[in-house]
This record gives sequence, C-alpha cells and structure tokens, in this order.
Amino acid sequence: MVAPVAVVGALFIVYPLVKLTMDAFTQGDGGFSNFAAVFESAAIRNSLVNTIVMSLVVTVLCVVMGASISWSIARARSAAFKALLWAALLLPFWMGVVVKAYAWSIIFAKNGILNSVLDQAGVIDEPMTLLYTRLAVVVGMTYTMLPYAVLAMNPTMSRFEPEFLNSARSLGSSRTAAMVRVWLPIVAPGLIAAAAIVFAISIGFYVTPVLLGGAETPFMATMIGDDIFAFFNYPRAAASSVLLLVLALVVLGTALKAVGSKALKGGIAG
Amino acid sequence: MTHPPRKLLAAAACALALTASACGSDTDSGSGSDGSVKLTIASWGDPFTSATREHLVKPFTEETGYEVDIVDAPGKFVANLEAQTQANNVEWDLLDSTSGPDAYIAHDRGLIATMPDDVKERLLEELPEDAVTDFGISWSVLGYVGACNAEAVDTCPTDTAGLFDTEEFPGSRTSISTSPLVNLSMAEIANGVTIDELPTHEIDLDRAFETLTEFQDASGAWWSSGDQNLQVFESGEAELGISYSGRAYGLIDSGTPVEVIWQDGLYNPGFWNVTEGSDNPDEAWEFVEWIASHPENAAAWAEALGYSVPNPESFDFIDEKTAKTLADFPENREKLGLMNYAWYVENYEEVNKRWQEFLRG
Repeated sequence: MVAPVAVVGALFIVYPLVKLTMDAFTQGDGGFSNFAAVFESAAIRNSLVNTIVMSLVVTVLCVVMGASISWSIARARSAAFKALLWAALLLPFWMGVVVKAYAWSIIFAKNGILNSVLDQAGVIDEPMTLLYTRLAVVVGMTYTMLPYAVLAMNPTMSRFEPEFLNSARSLGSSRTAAMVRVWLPIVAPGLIAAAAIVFAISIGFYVTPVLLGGAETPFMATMIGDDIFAFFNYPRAAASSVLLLVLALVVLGTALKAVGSKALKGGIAG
Repeated sequence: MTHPPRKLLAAAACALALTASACGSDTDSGSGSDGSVKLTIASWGDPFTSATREHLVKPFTEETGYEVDIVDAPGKFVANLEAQTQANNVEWDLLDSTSGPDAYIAHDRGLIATMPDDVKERLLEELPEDAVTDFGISWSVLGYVGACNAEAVDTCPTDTAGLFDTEEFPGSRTSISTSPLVNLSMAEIANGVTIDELPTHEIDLDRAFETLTEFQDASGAWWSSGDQNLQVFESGEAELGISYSGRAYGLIDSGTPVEVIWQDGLYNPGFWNVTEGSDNPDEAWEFVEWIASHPENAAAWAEALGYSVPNPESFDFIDEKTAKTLADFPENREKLGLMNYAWYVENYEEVNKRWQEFLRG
C-alpha cells in the first residue's frame, strides 16, 4: 500500500508544489523579482493584510466558540443531545461553500432577513449595510471553519477529566483559577492545534470573500485569481501562491513544534 | 471518550475528499483518432454550451459530418490557451464568444489565428462590416447599459452621464468589477466623449479615474458575474448602475422594476475565434462561415440565451419582444458606442495596474 500512496503523493502533491515554487523563482525576470512585484502592488499588500487580519479574527472566534461547543459535547449526559450537537456542528460542514455563502448573503442583504427583522422590531430605521463588508466575510468564514476547530480540539477536550476541576476547587482554588491553571494547560495543545489548522486553511479562502466581501475586500486568493484569469500574469500569481504556502507552513510548523505531532494528527484524524 | 459517531466522521472525511477532487482540471480532447475531423470548441458552460450544441453544432455536424466536442472553460480562454501554447499542446480549435478585450489581447499575443483573406471576403458578404475583424466574427453581443430601480429612487437618469451624476441622481451605485475598459469608457462618456468618438478616443486615465472615484464613493457593491449583477439589484445593495443588457431585462422578468437605459451605453461583442495551433484550422473557419451564413440557427441561439447575434437577417426569425431587448436591434444599436480595444491592448499593463489599485488598493 505504501508504494502507490507515495507515487500518488509525489505526482499530485509534491510535483505541483515544487513546480509552483520553481516557477515563482524562474518565470518572468526570475530570482526574487516576482516577489518584489507582489510587494510593489498596493492592492496585493492591502489584500495580504486583509487576509492575515481577517484570518486571525476568524481563528480567535473559532477557537473560543469551538472550545465551548467542544466542552458542551464532552459534558453532555444524554447521548441523543450529544448526537444533536454533533449533527448541528457537522451539517454546515457538508454544505457546499457556495451554498453557505449564498445563505449568508440572503440573511445579510439590504432587504434581507436580518434587516427586515430588526426594522420590524424597531431597532433600526434604515437598513444596515452588512453584505459586501468585512463583517460578512468574518461571519461566513467562522461558520465554515467552526467544525474544523471542534474536530481538531475534540480529542484533547474529551480526554479532560472534569474531576480535576473538582479537585482544584476542593483544594481552595477559585473557579476561574481552576480553569486557567488546570483546564487550560491540559487542553492547550488541542486549542493550539485547532488555531493552526483554522488559520492555515483560512488564509487560502477564495469563494467566501468574493461572495460576501465583494470586490473591495479582496483576499490573496482573489488577487491570485486576478493575476491568472484577468491579467494573465502567471509569474506574479506563482509568487503570491508561494508566499501563502510559506505562511501556512510556518504556522503549522510552529504549532507542530509547540504541541507535538500528536495533537495536530489527533485533530485531523478526529 | 466522546467522539462523534463513526458514520458522521466518515461522511465528513468524504466531504473533504470530494472538495479536493472537485478542484480537478478540465477534461482534454484531441483530434479524432481514426483520422476523421474532430473540432473542439471552448465554451462558457450551461446554458451557453447547450445553446451552442443544440442550435449550431448539431445542425453543423449533420451537414458536414465533422465531429464537434464542447468543453467548458468559462472566463479562462486566454489563461488556458496561454498554458496550452506554452506546453505546445493546443487542445482547442474554436473559442465560443471570447470577450472583446480578451480577444484583442489573445490576438496580440498570437494565441488566436488571423483570418485568411478568402474567408474574410466570404464573411463580409454575410455580415455587417464591423462584425468581421482580423481574428473572428462578433457574436453573443451584449450591451453595457444603465439599469435603475424605479421604486428605489425618485428619478431615474436617461443616459450614461446621469448614471455618473451622483448629485442629480442620488442612490447607491453598481458596476462590473472585472472590466476596467468598460468602466473607463463609461466614465469618459460621462465626461463628454460622444459614442461616435469613443472607438478611437484615447482615454484620459487621470480624468476617468477621478470620475470613477466619485462613482465609487456612491457604490453599494461591484458585481463580477451575471448572477451577481442580478443579485446586487434584487437584494437592494444597488439602486442604479451599469448592467449587462440581458440581465437588466432579467431583473424586470423576475419582478424588480428597473428602467433600462440604452442611451450612450456600450456595444460589447464577443467573438468566435480559431486558435493559433489548431490541428484543423480550415474546418474551424468552415464552422465560423457556417454560423455566419445560417441566420435562422443564429436566431434560435439568440432567443435561447438573450444574447444578440450580428446577422441582420436573424432578426426576421426573432420574436419582437425578445428582439427589442437585444443590442443589435436597430433602435438599441444606434444608442451604443464601441470601445477602443486597440488603445486597451497598447496600455494594457498600466490600465490593469491602476484599475486594481483603484478597486482593491
């Protein structure tokens, strides 16, 4: 079984990545010139900042919300309730990313559900602009990435024994101190693994920022798409792609070093 | 231990695997293995591909016996052709409705073939002069027109200048985000360039971008596809702005009360092209001549999609209600200007750079 897997991996993963990296350094004027072109463009710089900042926000939201969901699942007594929580979490996971984005665009539209509910409740006088904003992108991405976060932290979270908290409390610790000094150190590897996975996937988002963020809040992937399909500037697209790849690898590598491969693998394998 | 039920996880893993494999590349196809002629057309996906297959390819194959394949590569003609040319393996013979700017760029880069003189002569007998270029015939013509939601604003403008006049006609604006030439040309019309001057007018970039910046300040959203064109009007993000003509009428059909403003809009032809490096260039040009000389088939194609076709005789076969929505309908055609593609090809890099900084910077 190992040989075919290695061949497939080499053919469809290693070769394209090596070729991409070589293209980034050899096409056009070669060397670092394509990377210089990436950073010379104010539009790409803007999209890089956009990508990183919004992915960070999504990561924080996913880890915080994921931890509470994961905790609830671990602590749920009834099997039916547990199954319901998993189903609620994984349903959006199975929906296409385009379907999810369109669902949010219906909710966020000027004459959409959210605005009309708030209007009828008398909360707002004028419909708010929600669609084609950074907020819409963050919500849409968080919705997409939350299942990944929970799946990634679930192994560590479910191994945490609630008895530890009781022990800490009975030894005189406050509830907060018990969470920070007992719970957090034990589940930290799971949280870090979840954060790394969510961030690494988030920086590659394309469809959600296009459909919910519109033309003026581009992600790096949007700019790479521009370069390939609109401006036919393949060398610069290759350089931008390598940049994203390196960023994702650095984040995953750092996380791997911090928590060990077990936590990351546990996250991916569930 | 609290793991999700095994079945759920398996399904989740499957969903991941599907996502990955869905990124696979387009299927390729070469010429007929038994020596028979086989043409491959690159098209835009349904409903486009179906209309081309049903109304053009099928009757053509019945008449000539040539086998014709259609592959979908929406918006990727030039990028894919460039890759195919670099790899010395051009898989396509014909391009169905290449966008205007892309066709001029592709010809400039030697990706599509120059039309042989004898073919050109014969085509000019069938089609109006401005429908026949050095590299193909115009096809699937659209207008870039104004669309204005009459319910959302007090008064709708009646021409392009009004669309750009945000003081006289307040309201959230929209336009296409993927075509700098369209926006710059429209802005120049608003600045006083007439549609007769437009085809040879050299756009004053500083002035045009200044006009576009004012337009952007009033922008509710930019659209990048026909579906989004509809969506921004239907969802209320945009009250007036620049729209594909076909989509503007689509809005009316689906209940959004828009006024369609043809005056000083843009005539936007797509093109049938033959690729440079096609294995069967003669047969490919034969196909182009066939569709130019079959106005009834062209009419059926136009009716199916709501895109216009250049053969005037086609309008004898199109019902009047549809005809009035098409860019080649004489009353509409006279209100539209042609863009200066030659200028765009020459200034391609600077224009795109400034456009990207303007929109995304």
